[in-house]
Amino acid sequence: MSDVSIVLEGVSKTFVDGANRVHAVERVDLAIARGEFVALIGPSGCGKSTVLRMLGDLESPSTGSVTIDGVSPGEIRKRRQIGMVFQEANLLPWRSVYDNIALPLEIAGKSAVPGARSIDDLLELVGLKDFRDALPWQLSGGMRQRVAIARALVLNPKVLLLDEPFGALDEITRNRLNIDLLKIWTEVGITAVLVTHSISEAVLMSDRIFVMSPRPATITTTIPVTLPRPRTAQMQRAPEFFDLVARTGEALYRPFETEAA
Amino acid sequence: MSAALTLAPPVSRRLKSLAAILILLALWEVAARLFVPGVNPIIPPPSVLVTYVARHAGLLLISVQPTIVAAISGFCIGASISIVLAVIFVRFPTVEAALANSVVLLHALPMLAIIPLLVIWFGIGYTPKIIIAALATFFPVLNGALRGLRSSERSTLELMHILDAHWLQTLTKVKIPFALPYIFAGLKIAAPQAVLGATVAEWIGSRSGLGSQILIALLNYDVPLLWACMVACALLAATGFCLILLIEYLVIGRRSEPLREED
Repeated sequence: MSDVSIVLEGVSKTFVDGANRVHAVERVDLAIARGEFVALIGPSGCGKSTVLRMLGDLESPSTGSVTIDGVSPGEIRKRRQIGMVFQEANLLPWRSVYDNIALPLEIAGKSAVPGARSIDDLLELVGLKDFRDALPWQLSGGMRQRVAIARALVLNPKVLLLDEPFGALDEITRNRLNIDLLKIWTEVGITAVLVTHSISEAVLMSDRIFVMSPRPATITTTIPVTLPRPRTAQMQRAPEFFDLVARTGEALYRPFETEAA
Repeated sequence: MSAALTLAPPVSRRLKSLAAILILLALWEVAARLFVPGVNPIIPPPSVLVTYVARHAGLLLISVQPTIVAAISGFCIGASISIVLAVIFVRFPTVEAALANSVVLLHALPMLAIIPLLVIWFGIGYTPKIIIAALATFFPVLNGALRGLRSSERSTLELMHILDAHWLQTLTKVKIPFALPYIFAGLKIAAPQAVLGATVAEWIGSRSGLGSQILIALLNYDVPLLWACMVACALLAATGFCLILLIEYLVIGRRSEPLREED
């Protein structure tokens, strides 16, 4: 791991709601290299999204430190170097595809972002060239997420945070979007953190998989994904792929199995 | 209900609604002729009602103008104040906590009791009726705007946070556009209310307008004029509603898949 991008050291998060204290995240340590694609996988509600939200400065850690390129997520956010894709595309329904992708540029003020990408190039990259003037309601769920990805990339951010971006889509669409997202990631060369609860998605996409325990979430196992890049849809039928899926599944389900025994 | 309130209902629905109105008018015509006969009946059949309106057309055209001016001015003032106040409430929750009860109290004041006070304070003329029209507009629009400004999706607001957007940018690019349907829902309730408020205020607060014409007709026991004023008032209120509907369509346009006809 040559050039480190994201570092979490002893990060815990406790939510306080009146007298209730919920330990969402417990002592998470991890380091992510620049340009690496990692997946956080864990049972639903385990707190993996909370880790991602701390990277996006949407939550702050109760203890421990989070740094991106050596500074706090808040600082990176103010530099507008975070791109985030949510589970729902959350496009603005009155704006066209083009204008939705332009939103971050408008907010930053065009002159303030020298590294900004051209919207037309992004439309080409996500395969929506012919839909630049369409309104969100005219698009399928998968196309809307493509717009959300383009919007996340328009300011040329340092990190791309993906919070179950295709979780609401059917498996066939999801598979296609994953392959396309990998192409985009290769082309853009960006550090990407994917939160998912799909084992095969985690294996297909990432360089390393961080397996998290049920709440409070902590990293129980790190699995390096040895599959070559560029990844293809066909690799999902290779024995090596199944082996990785099995190993990830074993790490993921272990806490539940010991509990039952 | 909601489908009936959109601007362009499908043709067959429009025909059905037209048929229902015609049937109602026909029933009214027959019933009035059977039970309330006479030259100037106190409950006229629609055919006679038309002659009442025609007979007083000139007077109505003059009386309606001050009412329109008061209703529109009051409506615009009331709507602007309530939208600005809603933005302040959403931006500064402490202000809302401090003022919310006062606003409800203001809404609970009986308009009929305020009008004489306004006349004493400002004299007879435009001021009392504009204030009443504004008060009638204020509450439904404030209510709609408050709900609407809080209707943005959470993840959209989080996106704005990640983009380090200024609160004014979030307001103009996200919160207000998301609030527009709710604001227009309030405006649609408020527009007829503004007309009715102005008319009622004219009973004692003005020497011109539809309201004072109604009072004159009552004192002279002029039933045809009373009916004619009522028709004019209803038309005015309905026009206000339709105008807002049209503006809503022009401003908001299409955000979701068009509704398909059910049958």
